[in-house]
Order: sequence, then structure tokens, then C-alpha cells
Amino acid sequence: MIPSADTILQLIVQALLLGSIYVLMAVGLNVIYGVVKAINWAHGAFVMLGAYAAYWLYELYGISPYASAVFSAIALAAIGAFTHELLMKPFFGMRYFRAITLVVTYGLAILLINITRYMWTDVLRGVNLGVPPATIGAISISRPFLYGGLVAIALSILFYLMLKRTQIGRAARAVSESRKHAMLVGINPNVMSRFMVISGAAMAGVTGSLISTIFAVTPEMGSVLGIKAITIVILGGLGSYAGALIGGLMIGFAEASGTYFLGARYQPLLYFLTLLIVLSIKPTGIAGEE
Amino acid sequence: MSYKKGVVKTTYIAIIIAIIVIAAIGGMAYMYMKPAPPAKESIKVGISLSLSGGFAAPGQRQLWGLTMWVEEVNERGGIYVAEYGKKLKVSLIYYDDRSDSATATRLYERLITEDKVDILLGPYGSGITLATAPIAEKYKVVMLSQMAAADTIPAKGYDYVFTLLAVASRFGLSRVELLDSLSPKPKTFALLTSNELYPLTVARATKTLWEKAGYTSVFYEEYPKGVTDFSAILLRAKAADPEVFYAVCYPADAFVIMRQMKDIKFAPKLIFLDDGPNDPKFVEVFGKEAEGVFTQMSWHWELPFPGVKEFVEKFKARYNELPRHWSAYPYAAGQFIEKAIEKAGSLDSAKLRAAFLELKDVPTIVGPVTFGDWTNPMGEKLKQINLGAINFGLQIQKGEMRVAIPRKYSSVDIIYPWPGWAS
Amino acid sequence: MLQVSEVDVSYGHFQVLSGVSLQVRDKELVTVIGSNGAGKTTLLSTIAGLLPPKRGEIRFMGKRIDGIPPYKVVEEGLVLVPEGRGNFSRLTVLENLELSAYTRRAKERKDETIEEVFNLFPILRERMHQKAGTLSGGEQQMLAIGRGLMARPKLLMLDEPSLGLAPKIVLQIFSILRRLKEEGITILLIEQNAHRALELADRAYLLETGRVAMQGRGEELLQDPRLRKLYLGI
Ligand SMILES: Nc1ncnc2c1ncn2[C@@H]1O[C@H](COP(=O)(O)OP(=O)(O)O)[C@@H](O)[C@H]1O
Ligand SMILES: [Mg+2]
Repeated sequence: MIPSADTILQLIVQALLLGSIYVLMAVGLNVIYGVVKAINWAHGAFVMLGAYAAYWLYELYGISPYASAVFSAIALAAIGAFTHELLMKPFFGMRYFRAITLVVTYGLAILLINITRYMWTDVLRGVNLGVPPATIGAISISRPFLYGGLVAIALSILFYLMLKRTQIGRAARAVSESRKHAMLVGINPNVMSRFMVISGAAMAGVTGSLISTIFAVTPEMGSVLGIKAITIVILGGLGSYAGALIGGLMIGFAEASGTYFLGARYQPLLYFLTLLIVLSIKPTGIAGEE
Repeated sequence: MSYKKGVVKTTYIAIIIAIIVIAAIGGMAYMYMKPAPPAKESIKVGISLSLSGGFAAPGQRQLWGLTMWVEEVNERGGIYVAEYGKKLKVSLIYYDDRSDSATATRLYERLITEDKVDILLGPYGSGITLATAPIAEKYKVVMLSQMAAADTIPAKGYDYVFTLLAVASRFGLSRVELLDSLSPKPKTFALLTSNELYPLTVARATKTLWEKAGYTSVFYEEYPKGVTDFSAILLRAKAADPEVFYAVCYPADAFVIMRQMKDIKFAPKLIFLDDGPNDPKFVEVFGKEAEGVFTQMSWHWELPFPGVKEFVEKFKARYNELPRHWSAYPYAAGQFIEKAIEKAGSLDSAKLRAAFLELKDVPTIVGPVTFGDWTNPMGEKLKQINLGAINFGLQIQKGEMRVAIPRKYSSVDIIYPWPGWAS
Repeated sequence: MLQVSEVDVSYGHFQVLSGVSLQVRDKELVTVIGSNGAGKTTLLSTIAGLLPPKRGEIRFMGKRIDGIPPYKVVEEGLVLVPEGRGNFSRLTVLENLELSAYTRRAKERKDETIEEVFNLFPILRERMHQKAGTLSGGEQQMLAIGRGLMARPKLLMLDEPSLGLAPKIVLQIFSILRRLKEEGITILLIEQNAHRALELADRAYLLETGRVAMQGRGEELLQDPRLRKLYLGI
């Protein structure tokens, strides 16, 4: 079946939007990795909590997820602070720091997902804004998806500028390169890592708010999205901003086109193959250093 | 000295022999003269329920349905058992398996070996049922499964396990009736299904039956766990331009599918989503757009079977919600057991099993029950399933889920074609 | 200005410094020489707050600084240009310099200091937008010293700035150190290049296996026969 030009265009737009949501999620994860040097396995669970926050605020008070994203960000920032102080900081400098944080945050993910499941059950939830799709020529795009993608792109760029242009951004990159040398400049690396874990978690909260308007809100999304985010950053390069961007878009495209041309059943295989091919060519990921 | 010693020794041996002989005679006498079984006080029905953990919500409702039956049967004085010449009350013995198969397996062992129950009811869900059915088979105690729809369980061919709920492969029967009853009849269908065992069985059975009935598949897709975005899949389904779109999916997926169908303006003449629209939340969220969408349920509160009205009213008054199949099926299981014990006139497992197989069209609130063997559309032989079990096709009409299929139990006209997306 | 008294430092059970005492006065250039593994880097790391001393105390401008973290030490005006230079290779030259004016005191005079650093090392101005990782060894060292200056130090500590550089570049580095000294910056310099260091220094210490084996004015040590034989190869 040869798809029409319109279908291909629609597919490309779809892939871009999906990819940009993934980018935001991956940027949040990489922001944390960059400075702490640990994968936060609970990132997907953070996204899920952000989505639930948006859902409940919409359901109970009718607050638009775009407005409540601020609240999701704050709530997740608090959880991020807690995660940093209790689950990361005590292990700084330990020999198996990476492995320890991976295990500890994995535990946190399971805990958060199960608490959510216990409190709010597996019941179907989601924010249906009921807005009609946007039509551009022959293609038709979900407005929540469009807005979500745009917000995700804007936020990713904003964060990029923050990293590039501000003193705090430079300091974060310095800590990411060497905690020791950063200290000699006068940077308190704990403050920086706390700041970045909080930022990453807040971004997860915003991602969740956006996703609540696009996909369904379930406890499972915590693990599904968490694995996707980790796949993306490994693919793109751990800790690399460009990596999150390229990885996110690549997975977005692989998912959309793979699903369209090969079939949804090959999705896990496609993920695996993409990862395998990229890592065998460049073990540190597309934009990974070291 | 040596003589005396010998006498003592002989005496000892004599005493020991005497004790053994007396014990043996006594034992034999006890065995031969064993009095009639100690007066039976009640019929013990055993079950492991998921009262906590992941299945706690349906598990609790399962208990509610059972409790209602037990209370009602005991109000009537119990069940008449010919062997004892009197009515015996029913006592329900249940434990919480915390939604865990391994725990449930231990609990069924305990129900059989320690509590010595007369008959077993199946636990919640296919997973736990699959794990515990072999226990019933091993001890040859009848287990009436009411909350497991997987074909794999009756496909094992157990002698003592009976499946009351409609198995997944039977869902296809009412799907065929649905398409057959439309006018004008559609020609093409698209089928999207989760690739997990249970939805897959439903989908494959339906596809086989639809194709056999002359409908053409223009799109068929099995999606794996972890798919969050359905837009690419739906784009392809739309490109295939089917008249009927059927998704065998979980509620969260149905939610996204529905939303994204609208986003890409995919408007087939019929939308059937297995799970999702049967949750009142779906109608609440999609409002008018949910109108005319089809879904399914194993049971419905407006079915015209005897006893349904009374059951629903009593249930609503007591638990403040509409009963679902989680409660109706356990209640119906009780109704069937009642008839089976009366017919067997005994609590002996072999006799009970025979009675289960002899009974035909036993009226229950889930419809007439008859147990028998059946070959599913994929050619698997299923043993001792309820041949009367139906998976009902429902259509959302004026915001309510109405029974549409089978037509003989429906009181509404089918809306077809689906009105399409509101602009 | 800096007073190190009776300091012991060890890595685990392995003692590296034993009873080291040292002083740096205002506007002085003090050098610590010693062979590889003598404990020079350990000494500077300890002063900078990277390592806690087991015993003894360290005072800077009269205030005790042992036990406080490195980023607080920097705020006091005590700045270390570490062994291996400590530049951030993924940041540009300009970013490295800007970042190094991190303390409030330094930030206030950032633009002015950058101008000074560029005048001192014109090559850095040319390489301004290049990633630090792409600089040559000599440029890297200039950047490291420039970064040290960006912090507006009251006392600048340098750990072997000439290490691994071509002789021509070494010469250049030393002439810059001389210039800094003339500008009145207090410096604590560690060198293996003992000859040049002693020539430049007001006072010097010789560190041997974690102990101060000799101390005195630069010229005095230069004249010492044993030191000449062992460290200057004369
Ligand atoms: N991190 C460390 N762990 C253990 N021992 C170390 C460490 N760093 C240095 N040492 C040891 O301490 C001693 C002094 O090292 P260092 O201070 O680097 O000497 P220098 O700078 O004079 O060459 C050496 O014997 C070295 O092996
Ligand atoms: Mg050294």
C-alpha cells in the first residue's frame, strides 16, 4: 500500500509532535544525568504524577492542564528535591554510585506507580479538552498534540538557552564535567545538583501535564514512559542536550513510521534494533561524549 | 537366674503381642463398624478471593454477589440433600489471596485439606484461575469458575473444573450476529487488538468468524504493550477505509484510540471498542461523540432473565451501585450449585460432577446454564464450558449502555451507521 | 596571610604529609619544590579544602579554613589552579573565564578582569569562542592561570604550571608569573622545575616525603649544595 503524499505529510507532522514530547521528557532526564551522573529511573513515574496532577485539577476544579502545568512543575520539583536529598546525595562519592542510584530510583518508580495504582486504581482517566483538530490543507492534527509539541519545543529551547547563556547554566555544565574543578571555582556542587534534579523533575511534571491531554492517564504510563525516556537518552548520549534532541526525534520518527509501514507489533523490536545499531556504531550514543 | 530371666522375657513378648492384636482388632472393628458420617451441619463452599491487591475492586464485588446468594439460600432453609434427608445450610469459607496466584494456590489446598469444603468456586481472573484449577483437579473437588474467560483453562481438559463465564473465543459469536443484523450489511472490517493473550483470543475468534460469514478484513493489527500513541496505526486503518472498526483493547487504549480517531477524522460506519465505552467515565468524557459506539459486557442489569430485576434492586439498595458481572456471575454460580446439589442428592464430588453435566438450561440471572464441550473457532477443544454463556454487545444510546446483541434480549433498535464526528 | 601549622594528611592509612608548616605573607611569591610524590599536590589540595587535614590547622587572613569546603575557601580569596589545569573542556574559553568569576567579589569586576586576562594572554582573546578542550597545552595553562585570576584571588596557588610544556612555553609562563608577582599578587607556586622557581621566589620550601626538609629565601636554597645536587642536577 503506497501512502499518499498527504498521508506522509500527516505522518511526518505526527512524528515531529510525538518526538518533541519525547525530547522534553529526555531533556529532563538528561539534565539530571548531566550533573548527578546517575540515571533517574523514576523519571517516567514523575511524568505520570504530573499527568495525574493535571488530571485531578481538571476533573475537580476544571483547571486547564496548560495552566496547571505550573502546579505540576512545582509539585514535582518538591518530589525532585526529596529525591535528591534522600535518594541521591547520601550516595555521592560512593564507588558504585551509578548502580546504587539506578536501583534506588527504580525502587522509587515502583513505589510511586504502586501508590498511584492503590490510590487511584487502574481506572480509565484522561483529560478530554474536546477541541476539534486543527486542519492544515489535507492534514488534520490533534490540537492538544500540537500545543503539547509546541510547548515542549519551547521549553526545551528555553532550557537550552538557560544552560548556554546563564551563569547557572555554565555552572551546571561545569559540575557535569568535574565536581572537583567546579568546587575550585567556587561552585557548591550540591546546590547545583539539587537545582538540576529539581529542574529535571519539574520538566517531568510539565511533560505529564501535556501528556494528560494527549494520551490516557494510567499508573502504567509511569513505567512505559520511563523506559522510553531511558532508551532515548542512551540512544542520544547520556547527559547530552543534543542527544536528547536527536534521540527524542529519532524515536518519534521510528515509532510513527515503523508503526505505519511495518506494523505496531514490531514496535519493541524497532526500539531494540535502533538502539543496537546506533550503539554498535557509537557506544556512547549519537551525541555522547567520553 | 537364667531361668527366671527367660520367664520375664516371654511375659514381655506376650504382653506386646496382646497389645498389637487388640489394637489391630479394635482398628478393624472401628473401620468396619464406622457409623454414618457425623451429622452434616452445613454445605461448605470454599473460595479464594482477591480482597486486596490489584484485583481488590472486582474481588470485593465478587464477594458481594456470593454473600447475597448465601443469605438468600439460607433464608429458604438451605439446600435439600437427599443423602442426609434434610435441608442443609450453606456456609461460605473464603480467604484473601491478595491478588496473588501463589497465595491462592496455597489457599485452595487449605480449603480442600483442612477446611474440607464440599465444592469450590473459582477465584478472580484467568491468571489465578489457571494457577489454582490443577489443585481442584488433583483432589477431585468440583470447582466452578465464574471469573475466568481464558480459553486456555477449559482447553486443559480438566474433569473437575467448570467454566461459567463466556470464554474469550465465544465473544465472536455475538460480533457475527451484530454485523448480520445491520442493514445495509457492511462488507469490510478493520480489526485492531492488543497482543496479550486474552484480547488476542477474542480478536482471532472474531476475525475467523467474520471472514467465514463473508466479511472482508481490510486491516488487521496486533499492538504490543507499551504503545501510547495510536495515531500512526489509525492513519493506516483509515487509509484501508473499512466500514467496521473493531478494537479489542483496554480502557486506557480505547480512550486514546477514540480521541485520535477524531483527530485524524477517521469515521467508519461502526465503531466497536471492547473495553472503555463500558466504563461510565467514557460517556462522561466523550459525551455526544460516544453516542452509537459499541462495546461489550459479560452481563447487563437490564437483561430479561428471571431474577435479574430482584437481584439488581436488592444489590443497588445494599451496595449503592449497579451490579456488574463481577457480582452477577458468582450469584448465578450459587444458583447453579443449588440445583446441582439437589439433583445429585449428595455432596460427593463425583456425583456432583455428574449432576453438573446432566443439568440442562438451568435458569440463572446470567441466562440458562448448560455445561458441555465446544470446539472454538481456532479449533481448540474446550471442556465443560457454559454453552449458554453470552458476551453481550452493547451500544451507547442517549448516554446509556443498552443491550444490542443478542437481538432476542435487546429492547432497542440499533443505530447504524454511526453518525460521525460532531464538527 | 596564609599560615599552615603542623598539618598531617593521609589517604586512608597512608600518611602523605606529616607536620607540615608553611607561611605565605602578603605580596610574597613562595614556592614549594620537591620530587614527584613528595606530597606537593596533596598540600595544595588540603589548603584548598579538597582534603581534610588529620591534624594541625590552616589559617587564611587570620581565619581558620581547614575543614571548610573548597567553594567556601574560594570565597575567602584563596584560589587554586590545580594540577592538570582544571579547565572545563566542553565550555568555550570565554565561558571558562566568565564562569571562574563565580564569587560575588569576582563577579563585580568580571568585565574588567577579563580585559586584564586578555591583555596578559592575547592568544586567549583570539581563541575566545573555541572549546577549551581544543586548546594546545600552553594555551590550556594560560587559560588555567587566567581562570585563577578571574576569581580575583588574594592568594593564588599554582600546581606545577610548567608541567608538560615545551621549553619555549615554559619560559613564557614563568615570565607571566614574574609579571603577576610584580603586579603585587600573592602566589604560592609548586614546581618541579626547581631552578626557575627558586630564582623567582621570595622564599621557598623543600618537601621530602611529606616533611619540610628545608626552607629559606629562594637564593639561599639555590646555593645549598645538597639541594643543588639532588634537585637541580648541578
Ligand atoms: N588519591 C590518592 N590516594 C592515595 N594515595 C595518593 C592519592 N593521591 C596521591 N597519593 C599518594 O600521595 C603521595 C603524594 O602525592 P602528591 O601529593 O600527588 O605528590 P606530588 O604532587 O608531590 O607529586 C604519593 O605517594 C601518591 O602516590
Ligand atoms: Mg603533584
